[in-house]
Formats: sequence, structure tokens, C-alpha cells
Amino acid sequence: MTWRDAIALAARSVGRKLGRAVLTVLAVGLAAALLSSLLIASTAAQRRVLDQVSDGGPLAGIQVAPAEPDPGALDSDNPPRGDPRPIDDNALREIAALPNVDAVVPIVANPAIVVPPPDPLPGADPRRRDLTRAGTFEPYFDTVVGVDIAQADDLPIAIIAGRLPLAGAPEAAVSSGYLRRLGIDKGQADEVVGTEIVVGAPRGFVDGDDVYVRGRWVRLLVVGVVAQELGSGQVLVPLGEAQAARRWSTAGVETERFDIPESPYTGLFVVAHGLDRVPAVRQAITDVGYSTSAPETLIESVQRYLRVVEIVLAGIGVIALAIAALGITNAMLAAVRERRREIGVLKALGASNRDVRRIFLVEAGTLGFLGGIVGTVVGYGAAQLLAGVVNGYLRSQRLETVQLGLPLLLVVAVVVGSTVLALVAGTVPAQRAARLPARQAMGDR
Amino acid sequence: MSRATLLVVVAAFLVAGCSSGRDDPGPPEAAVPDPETVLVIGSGSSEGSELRDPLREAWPRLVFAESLTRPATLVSGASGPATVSDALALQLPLAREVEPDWVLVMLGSYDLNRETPPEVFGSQLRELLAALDAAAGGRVLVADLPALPAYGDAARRAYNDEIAAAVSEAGATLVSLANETLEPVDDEHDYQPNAAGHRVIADAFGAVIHELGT
Amino acid sequence: MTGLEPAITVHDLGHAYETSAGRITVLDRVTCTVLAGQIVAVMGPSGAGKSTLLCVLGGLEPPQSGSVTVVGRDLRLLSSDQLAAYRRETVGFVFQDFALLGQLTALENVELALTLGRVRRGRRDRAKELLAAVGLAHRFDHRPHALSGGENQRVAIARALANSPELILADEPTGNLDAGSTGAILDLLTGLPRDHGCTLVIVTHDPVVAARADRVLLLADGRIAA
Repeated sequence: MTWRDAIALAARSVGRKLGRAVLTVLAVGLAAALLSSLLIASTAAQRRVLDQVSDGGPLAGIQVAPAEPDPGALDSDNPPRGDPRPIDDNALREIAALPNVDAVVPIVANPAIVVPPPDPLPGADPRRRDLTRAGTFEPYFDTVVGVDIAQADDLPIAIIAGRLPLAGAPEAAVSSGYLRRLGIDKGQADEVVGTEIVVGAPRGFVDGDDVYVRGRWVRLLVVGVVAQELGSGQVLVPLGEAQAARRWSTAGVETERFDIPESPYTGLFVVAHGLDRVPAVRQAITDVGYSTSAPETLIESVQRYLRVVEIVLAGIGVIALAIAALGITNAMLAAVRERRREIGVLKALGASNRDVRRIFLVEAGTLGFLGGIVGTVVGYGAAQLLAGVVNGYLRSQRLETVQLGLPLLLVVAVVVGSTVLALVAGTVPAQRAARLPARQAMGDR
Repeated sequence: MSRATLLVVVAAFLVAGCSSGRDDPGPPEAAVPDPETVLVIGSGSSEGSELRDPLREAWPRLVFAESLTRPATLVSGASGPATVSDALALQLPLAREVEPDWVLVMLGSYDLNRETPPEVFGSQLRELLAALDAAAGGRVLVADLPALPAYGDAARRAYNDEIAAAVSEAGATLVSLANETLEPVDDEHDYQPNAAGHRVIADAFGAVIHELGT
Repeated sequence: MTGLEPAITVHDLGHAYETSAGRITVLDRVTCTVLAGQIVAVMGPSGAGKSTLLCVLGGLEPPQSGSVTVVGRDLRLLSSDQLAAYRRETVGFVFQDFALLGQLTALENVELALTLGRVRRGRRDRAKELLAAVGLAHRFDHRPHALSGGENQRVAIARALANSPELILADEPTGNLDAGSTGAILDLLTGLPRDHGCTLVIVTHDPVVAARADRVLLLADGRIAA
């Protein structure tokens, strides 16, 4: 008898005692559901925690500062910086050419005066605003931060409303600090999207004995809100705009007085080829002569802890599956007892011991397979329910919500695992059936 | 449906439902028209330093916010008690640097204040406009002086005649405020218009910009 | 095989069972010969060893002593897998209670025999042929519970014929049938040697059945009485 024939026969036999089959499938399904929902939830939680630790950016991210490394503190996540050292295009190229570097994202920051919309936005808390004498919202000093928008994926930036600005467009994203200034809750971040701000870059000039300031101003459409604080600044713009502002400011006098950074690039965000390469890349950047920081130690210890949690949760799920497997063994042993005559008749018809074993193994495997599929579907649904509850809480705390995924690998693993476990559970009953004497065909005499 | 087909359908359903659960940020490139650059040449009056909300109420800000159809950059050269002579020394270099598409000029109040003779004022203004024309290549708009309590009427008219002549010779465009009477921002700064006055000036510039087309 | 050659040769066959009450001898030096194409009825009181004889002849159990040769194969020499092959290729069983699989239709019950008989292609068509030959062309998709006793036994006979066996063993084939069906089933069974060239051994209590046989073997206390 081929496996295909055995499967066809098993399908009929399983359907014969449908109630028992359903209960067995449910038992496996529930166990598989427990296992898959635990794994889905733990994967989502793991991703969320690591996201928080890495500020939403790649885990293997390294921040390079325009400063020399402090020789005394090279191994820590956030070492103090040494003397200032500008990062220019040569340095950028040199760092980009280092081995195990996947991406280098330049960052340019420049001081700015930000003129927000004059009137309060819907939902703003009027007590939380600084006002001009005209009763309009007070412009304020800040920093604009410019990044290469095409490399935004490599940055620790998480969008909570709208989108990032398009490269070359007069657009900007603001940080949650900007929302606070305007007296707007994070939950209403959408209110600022579509408004316009005017941002000016300062330049000092001499007139007689005194130094004055003149400005270069741009109108920017606020297209999004990011969750993070952008270093010192609350306005994120495309790199070109920040560089234009910096060119304007550095052409003036007394740049130090206006806090205009000396370094062409205020910093670099380097993405290493994997978390395990971060120490090597950091060392290489230190050798080039720049100070770096990265949450590698923190991430490593968090990952270790999360792995333990994952193993424990998986262990719970596996125990549940093993219990379900025992149920399969029990059900199938009962089935073998009940079907002694039938087994005898099969042998009388010419079924070998191997044929009989195959038939019963396939029945067990079918129950396990169906249970695995039911379990994955139910498990995903359960995880979504759980996520719904958790996200409700996160939203109330103005925190980012979690999103669940159903990785194909998990589905395959749970279904295959359930099937294999059921096959193992069915081994003893199948063997017992195979060994029944053929004379059982004659019935009880 | 045969069993094999059913299995394929179930598998396809599962695969389609599978995902990693991450959003994808990353916007495409913008197709943005080239921004225009607007250079303001003037004095602290144009900055509206005594207004309650100068960064929003001063006339260059209003023009910048309302009258340009394309994205624009505003470079503010105006500052302090600038006369035409000061503008030649300190503000003209900006024109050569930023190569503006529009130059908005409003000068004369501090020259009046210092009682510079109209012909001297006119000569310096001609020099400034010629240099702006050579440096900028863009459109130069020059406002004449509205009536403010601080301005003597005869002197203002003489200045406005010089402005009109200089503008005509330079091929620039006159923004006429001669018939406007504005209120000062306060008694101490009676040669700086109030917010309503800035609105009048901005509207006048805006009308000319609209006429010339961006 | 022609009528004059022995299909079955049994010599000094002995068979016993171990029970809690001790060893029970069921067959005691049984010797007999059945010619190819014959219809042999095996009769005797309960406990005489009729079913055990059928078990041994059918390869359901290996002979414990003596020799049993069926169509040239010595059953003592066969391993468990070889006995399964023997049952598959050489023997067709017909049971008193039909022994059909309740979850399968009539057609599927016959197909099962073909599947176990390692037939890969054309099983469905062959099964339809067999069922049609026993007069059940209109009952392919019926399950056993929806068939009468006589119809179920016809399905069983069609199943027994699936792999063209040389030996048909029927254990009280009319025991569960009413009088009306008994005659028809008997006609069908006794026609098999003529129509399919096989040898038929029927265990029966019923003298009517025995009367249709070419020979009657009487078993008593595990021995051939006549």
C-alpha cells in the first residue's frame, strides 16, 4: 500500500469516528495554539523591546561623533568624548570603506529659529504655550537636523504620524518635543501634519563695532511626526536643506557664538553588518580617530534575557503538545482495540504488517497535521486578541503599539512539529495493530 | 476539489497571511520645482523690530508667506538703521552671493531721518539699483515712501521723485506707496509703521509680484 | 490448474491453542486432498476445528505441525510477509458477517482489496466490473449499512474475487442471510469454480449448502471423520 493510499484510507477512518477525531484534533490544536501564540507574542515583545533599546533603528547601529575617542573608555556603550574633530567627506568615505559596514548615514545639524503656526491647533492645551505680545505662538530657538532621507530605514527613527519629508522638497518632520511645545498630546500628533512652519538659519555679520544677525528663511510643510527626540533639534529635514542652512550660517562671523557646528557633518550613523560585528566596526572607527557610541552591551544582555523567556515559553508550549500527543496515543490504542476484527480482515485481504502500521501511523499523522493547522490559526487569533488588549494599554500611555506577525517559518514549524509529534505518539498503537494476528479476521470464537 | 488542490489552496492561504509585521517607511524622491530666492534690502523698519510679532507681521514675512506661488527662500538683508549707503556696503554683497529671483527694496526712512539731501539719496539709490541689476539678474521691486508722521511731507515727496526716477532708469519696478498714509507702531518709533501698515506694504508688493508673475 | 491436480494437500496437520485452561488441540493429524476446481463443504459440530482449518488453509495462521500445500506452495515455509502475499494473491475470503469496512462504500470496499493487491491503475473500473458481475451495478456508492444482507455478501464475494484468487474460502457464508438471499448467494458462490477457475471450500452447518458441494469433509474433535 502506498502512502497516498494510506492517506486516503486514513481520511475515511478518521471520519468514521468523527467525534473522537474532532476531540483529538482540538487537543492538539489547543496545544499548538498555545505554543504558536506564545511564540508570536514573545517574538513581537522581543522586537518591541529591542526597538525601544535601539530607538527604532537597526540593532547594529553605531553613532559617530565629531570628536576623538577617549582612550580610557573605549568599551562602554556611551563613552565620554575626547577633543573635537570635524567629520568631513574624507572621513565619511574612509568610514564607509571599512569592512563590515553596511551603511553610513550622515547627519547635519544647524541652529535655527522656528516659527510655528501662529494660532493654537485643535486639541492644544492653551496653558502649555509661550505667546508673543500679539497672543500668537512664540517663535523659538532650536536646531534643524538633516539626514539623507533615502537612508531613513537605517536610522533610529519611528514615525508616529504622517511620513518623512521627501528629499529635495520643502518639507519637514517634527519630533514629539515639538508637540509638547505646542501643548499637543502625542495621541493627536496628526493635528500638526499639514501645517506650515518657517525656519530661519542665522548668520552673524559685522556692522561697525557690533555683530548682528541676519537670517535665511524657508517655509516647510510639516508632513510627519517622529517619536524620537532628534538630538537637540525638533525639526527633521532632508540633508540638502540642512546643508544649505549650514553653508549660509558658516559664511558669517562668530560662528561659535551662534552655536554653529564646526564639523561639516554633525555626526554619522553607521550600520554594521550584524550585531556581532559592532565591536569590530567600533574599533575600526576608533582607529580612524572618532568617538563612537552604541547600545551593544545593553542589546546583548536584553537579547540573552529574552532568549531565556522565549525558551521557557516554548517549553510550556511543548509540554502542552506532549500532553496532547499522549492523548493521541490513548485514543489510537482504544481504536486499535476496537478495530481488531477490521485489522484482521485487512490482513486477510492481504495487508502486510507494514501496510497496517502505515495505515495507523497516517491516521495519527493526519490528526496531528490537522491539529497543527487549527492550532496555528487559533493561536494567531489568540495572539491578536492579546495584542489588542496590550495595545489598548500602550495607547492610553501614549506609547507606540506592537504589531504582530505570523512568520511562515513559525507556521511550518508548528504544523510540522505537531505532525511529527503525532506520528511519534502513534508509533506504539501502530505497532500493536501491525502485530495483531491475522486470525482476528475470523472474529471472536 | 481534489485533495491535492485543497492542500495547495490551504498552503497559499497560509503563505499569504504570513508576514513579518513591520511597516516600511522610506518615501520616494520629490519632483519639486526649483525654489525662488527672495532678498529683502532695507532697514529695521522692514524687519518690524517694534511689532508684537515681527516674524509674522513684518511686510517681508507676509509677502514670503502669501505672494509666492513656488517654494521660496527668504534672505533678510534688512537690519538696523540702514541707509542706502549702508545697504551698498553691507547688503549688496548678499545679492551677489544668493543670486535672488526677487529683490524687494524699501529704503529711505533713515536717510530722511539723517536729512540726507534728496539728490544724494537718489544718486546712491541709482548706484545700488544698477549693482543689484548686475548682480541679481532677477526682478527688482522698489517701494517708495508712504506717509508717516515722522516724515516731512515735502522731503518725502522729493525722495519719492528720486526713487521713481532711479527705478525708471534701472529698469526696476516701482511699488507705489506714495498715496498711503500709515500709522506708526508707537510714539517712540514713529517712522516704523504698525502691523496694519505692514499689511498695506505687503499687499502693495504682493500685487506687483502677482502682476509680474512668478 | 486442471480438475485432476490437487489444489490443496493437507498431511498430518496439527494445530493447538494455549489457553488459561491449558493446551487445547483443535486439529489432530488432519489429512485430505482437494482437487482444483472442486467445491468442498466442511461440516462438523461446534468446536470441531472447521474455522481453524480455514485459518490455516487461508494463511491466517501458519500450520504448527504437518504440512499444508496450496497450489504448490508449502505454507509452513512462508514467512509472515510471504503469508501476507499468499493471502493477497491466492486466497479470497468470504465471512459469515460479510466483514466489510463500514466507512467505505461498496465500490471502495472492493477497491481496497485491489489496493492491497498492489494494483496501481484501473482499480475503480475493475471494481465496477466485479460489482456488476455480482448484480450490484446500481449500488456502487452505498455503504454497508444501506445494503441488505444479501447485497453485502455479494460485495464480499466481489471483493474476494478482486485479485483473481485460486482458492475461495467461505466461512458460513449464508449464516446471516434469510432464505430468499441464501439461494442466490449459494448460486453465486457455487458458480465461482466454473466461472473463475478457482477452488471453493465452504465451512457450513447447513445441509442445503453441503448438498451443492462436490465433496463433504466431516470434522469431529479435530479429525476427519469422513
